[in-house]
Amino acid sequence: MTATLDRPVRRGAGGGLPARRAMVRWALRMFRREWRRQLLVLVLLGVVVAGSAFAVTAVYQSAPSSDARFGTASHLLTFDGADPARLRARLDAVAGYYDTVETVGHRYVPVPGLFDPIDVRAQHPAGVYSAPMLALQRGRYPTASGEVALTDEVARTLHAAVGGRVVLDGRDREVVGLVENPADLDDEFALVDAPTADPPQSVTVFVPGSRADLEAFRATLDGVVVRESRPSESRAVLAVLALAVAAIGLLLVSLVAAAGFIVIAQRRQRQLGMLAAIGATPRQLRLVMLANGAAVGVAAAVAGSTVGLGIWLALAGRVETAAGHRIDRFDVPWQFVGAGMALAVLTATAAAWWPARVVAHTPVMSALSARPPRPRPARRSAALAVALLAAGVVALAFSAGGARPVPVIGGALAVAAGLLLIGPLALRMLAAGRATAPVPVRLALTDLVRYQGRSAAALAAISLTLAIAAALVVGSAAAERTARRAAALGNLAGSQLMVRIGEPAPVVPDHTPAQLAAFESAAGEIADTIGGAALTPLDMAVVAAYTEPGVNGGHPAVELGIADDRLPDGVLSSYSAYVATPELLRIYGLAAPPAGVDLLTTHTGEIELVNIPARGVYPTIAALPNLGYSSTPTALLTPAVIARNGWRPARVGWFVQGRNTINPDDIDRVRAIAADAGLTVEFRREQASAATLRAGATVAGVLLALGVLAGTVGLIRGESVRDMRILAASGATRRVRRTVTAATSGTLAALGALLGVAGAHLALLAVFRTDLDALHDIPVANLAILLFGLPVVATTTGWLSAAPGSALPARGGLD
Amino acid sequence: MTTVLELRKVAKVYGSGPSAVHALHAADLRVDAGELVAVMGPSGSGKSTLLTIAGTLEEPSEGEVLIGGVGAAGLSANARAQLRRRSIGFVFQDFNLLPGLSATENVALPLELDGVGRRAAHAHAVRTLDDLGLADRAGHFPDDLSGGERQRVAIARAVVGDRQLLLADEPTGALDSMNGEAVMRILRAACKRGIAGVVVTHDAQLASWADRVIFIRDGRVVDETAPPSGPEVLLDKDLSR
Repeated sequence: MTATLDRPVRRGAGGGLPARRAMVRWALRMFRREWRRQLLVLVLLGVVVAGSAFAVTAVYQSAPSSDARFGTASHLLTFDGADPARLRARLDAVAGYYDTVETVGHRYVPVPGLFDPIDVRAQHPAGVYSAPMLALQRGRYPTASGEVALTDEVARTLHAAVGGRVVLDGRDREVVGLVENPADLDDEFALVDAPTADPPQSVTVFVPGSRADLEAFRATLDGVVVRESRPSESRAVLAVLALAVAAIGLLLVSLVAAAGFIVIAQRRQRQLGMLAAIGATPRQLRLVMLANGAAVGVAAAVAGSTVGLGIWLALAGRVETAAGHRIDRFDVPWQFVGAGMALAVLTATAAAWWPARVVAHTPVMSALSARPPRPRPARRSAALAVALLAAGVVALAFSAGGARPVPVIGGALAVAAGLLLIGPLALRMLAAGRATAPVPVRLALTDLVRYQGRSAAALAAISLTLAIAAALVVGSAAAERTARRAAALGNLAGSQLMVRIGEPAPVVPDHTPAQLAAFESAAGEIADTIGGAALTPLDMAVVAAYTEPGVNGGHPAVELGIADDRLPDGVLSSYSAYVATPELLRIYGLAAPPAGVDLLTTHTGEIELVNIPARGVYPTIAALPNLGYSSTPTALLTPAVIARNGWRPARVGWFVQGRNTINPDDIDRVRAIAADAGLTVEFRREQASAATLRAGATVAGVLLALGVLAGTVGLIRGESVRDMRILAASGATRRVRRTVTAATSGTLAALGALLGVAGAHLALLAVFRTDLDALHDIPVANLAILLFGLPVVATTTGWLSAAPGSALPARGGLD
Repeated sequence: MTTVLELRKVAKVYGSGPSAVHALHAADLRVDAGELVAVMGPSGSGKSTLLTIAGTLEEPSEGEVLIGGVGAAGLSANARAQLRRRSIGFVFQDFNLLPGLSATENVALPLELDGVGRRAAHAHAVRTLDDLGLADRAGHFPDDLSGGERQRVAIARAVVGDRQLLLADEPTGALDSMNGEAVMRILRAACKRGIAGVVVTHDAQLASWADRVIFIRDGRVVDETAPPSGPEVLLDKDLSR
C-alpha cells in the first residue's frame, strides 16, 4: 500500500520550494474561500490604494511641464530683432554651431482694450522642437501672409471666429483656425505663417545639447545673450510626495489590518495545528499567514488601483481644466501606481507578520484543541504602552505646534503604538469591577479577558480608528479656531474690497504714468459701481536702484521679516508693509504717525526690514490699531523712514470701503471692470468650514469600529457557544443570552471609544500645549457620537445579532 | 521484529504547585513494526496524552520517547516536524482534513512539506487513495465527502510515504458502526504491511482488532492483554483468499 518514495536531495528540515508552494497554495485557497471575513481590511487597503493611484496620476499629470516653453529642446536663446542684420548674424551663428535648431519669431502687437500686447508668433506647426507647444483645435494652420490662427482667448478678445477676419499688426487677416499650446492652455497668441511673417521683434531659438555646449556657444557671441535651460521636472517629485502621503495612510491601515489578521489566525488555529501535526515547520506555518497577508494586499492593490484609475479616467477632464494644460488620460505613470500597489502588498504582508509569528509559536496541542492562548500578564505591555505614550507626548510637545514633521510623525506613531498596547490592561481593569455586575455583563467581561488575544486586538483596532477620527474632529476644529483667530473677522468686511495692480507679490513692477492713470480710473469706476465707495490708495516702498534678480522691470517692496520658531533658523516670516499716507492713517483713526517712529504695526516680536540691500535693519516701532481683518494693512512705514533711506513709494492698489455689503451682482460687475483693466480684486471670503471633514471622520470612525466589532464579537461569542448552552440549560432566558452578546459588543466599543478619544486629546494637548485656547471649540456633537453613539449602536447591534441560532459554531474550520 | 515506538518511564505533569495535574506516571510502551496496539481507559485517564507524547506533539515531563530507535528529547521544533512528516502519521477523531484542499492534495501534503515535487507527491497520493478504495473521490474536497470517506482520506494521509508509526486518537468516534469497522479494517491492514499502530479507543469491540490492548487509569498503565479473536480474523481470512 505504501510504496517507498524517492525523495529529492534533502535541504534541511524545511522541505524547500515544494513545501513553500504547498503552503502558499493552501493559503490562497483559504483566502478564496474566506475573503469575505477579511473584507474590512480589503476595503481599507483598497481605498488607500485607490486614493494613491488617483492622486499620483492626477498630481503627475497636472504638474506644470517645461514642455510648455521648451518643447523638446534643452535650452532657449532669445535674440532681439531690433537690428535685423545683427539678428541674422546671430541666427547664422546658432545654425552653424548646432546641427538642428528651430526658431520662432515674435511680434508683440498692442490691441485696444488689452493691457498686455498679443504675441503674434511665427512658428512652424511641425517644428523640430516646438511641436509639443502647438496643436490645432479647429480649421487649419495659416499658410499665407494674410492668414492667422488664434488661441481661444485671443479670438474671444478680438471677437473673431474661424472664417472671419481680424486686423492684427496693421494687416487684415483671415482667421483660418483655432490653435493652442497644449502644454500651457494659458499661453495666448496669434499664429502666422512662418515663411511669410513680418520681421520679428524677438526670436526664440530652440537648441539641444548640454549646458556646457550652450556656454561654449555663448562664448562665441558678443554682447548680452539671454538664455534659459530647461528646469528639472517637478512632476516626479510631486508624485513621490503623493505616494509618501499614501504610505502614511497605509501605515495606519496596517495597524487595523494586523488586528484583522490576528482574528483570522485564531479562526484557523485548529487547521494550523493540524498542519503542524503532519509535519509543517514553524517557518512553514508562518508562511501560510504571510501568504494570506500578501494575497489580501494583492487583491486590495489590484481592486484599489482599478477603482483609482477608473476615477482618474472619469475625472481627467476636470483635472485638465484645473491644470491648465492638455492631459493624455491614458498616459498613466505606471511606475508610481505600481509603487503604490507594491506598498499595499508590503503593508498587508508586514501586518500579517506578527499574527504569523504568534501562530508559529503556538504549541501544537493548544492549536489543535483551539484553546484560547493563556492571557499574558498585562504588566509588561502596559509599561511599554505608558513609555510609548509618554515618548509620543514629549515628541508632539516639541513639534512647534505641529510645524515640525519629524516629531509630529514620530510622536503620532508612538501614541498610536501606546494605544495599541494599553488594551490588555484596560480590559483587565474593566473586568476587575465585574463582581457586582449582573450575570450576563459579568460573563461578557470575563470572556473579554479570557479571550484576551482577540478582544485586545479588536480593542486596539477600535481605539486607533477612533483616535484618528477624534484627532481629525478636534484637530480640524482647533485649526479652524486658529485660522479664525489669525484672521479675526475674516479677510475683509462684506462692504470692503482690495483692488491690486497685478497679483499681490513682493515685487512691484514699473508702470508708466499713463498706465497708472488707467488703473486709477478703473479703480474709481469700481468704487462708483458699488455705490460711491471711499477709495484709499495703497503704496509700498521700493528701493529704486534695487532689482530683484530674475525679475525684469520691477523692484522688491520693503517688507517686515519676523523670526518664527516654526521655521528653520535664519528664515523669517515676511509681511507686507504699506506707506503710511494720511488717507490710510485715517482708516486707523490716526492723524499722523508718532514722531521718531519708523513703523506702525500690529505685529510683535523681533521685526526686521527685508527686501532691501542692507541686512539687519531694525525699525523703531509703534503699535497700529488692529482693524481685525487679515487683508487690511497690518504694517505701515512712516514717511520719515522712507525719506531717510531714499526709498520711493510705488502704487500697488486701493482699499475700497463701501457703504453697504457688496452684493453678488456688483461683485460680478467689479470683476469685469478689473479684468478689463488688468487689476485684481479681493472680496470677503466666506470662512471655509471643516464641518464636512468632521462629519466624514465621525461616520468613517464609527463604521470602521463597527466592522471590527462585527468580526470580533462573533468570534468571541462563537467560542463560548457551549457556555451559552449551559446558560440556557440553567434556565437563562433568551434576553439573558442576548444581553451577553450586547454587553460584549458595547463594552468593547465603549472602551475603544474612551481610549481613542483620550489618546487623541492627549496628542492634541501636547501639540497645542503653548496655545491651549485653540482647543476651546470642542465639536461636542461629533465627540458625543464617538463616545456614546458608537457604544449604543454596538450594543443594539449585538443584541439584535444574538438571535437564536445566530451564534457561530464553536468548532469549525477543519473537517 | 523492529521496535518502532518505545516509551520509557514517561510522565507528564500539567501546571505546577498545588494545581499540578499528573496526566501520566512512568508509562512504558513498546510497539513493534506491524503491530497494532489499542489503548483503552476512562476519560481523563491519560490515553490521549500518551498518544500526543508518542507523536512528539508534546514533550514528556520525564522519561524518554524513541521513534525508530531515535530519541525525540532535545530535538528542535524543526527536527520534530521533520520526524513527524517522515515517520509518524496522525488520525484524529473529527477534524482531520484541511478545507480548501482536495483529498489528493490533503494526502500529498506531508510529502510536499518534505520537499517532494507536486507531481510526484500527487501521483503517490492518488495511488494511496486507490489502495483505500477512494480513487473516485480523489478530486473531491472535504465538504463533498462523507464522514467515513473523510476518515479514510485522513488515514491515507497518515500512511502515505514510508511512515513507520500510525497514531490514531478515537478514529471512529464520529462514525457509525459500519464506517467504524471499515476504518479499523484499514488501520489493521496498514499494520499488516509493516507499520506500527497505536489506537486510542473507548470501544472494546474495536479494540479487538488490535494485537495488544493496554489499559490506562489515572495516568498509569494498569493492565495489558491480548484481545480475544475478533473481527480481524475476518480480515485475515480476506487476505488469505
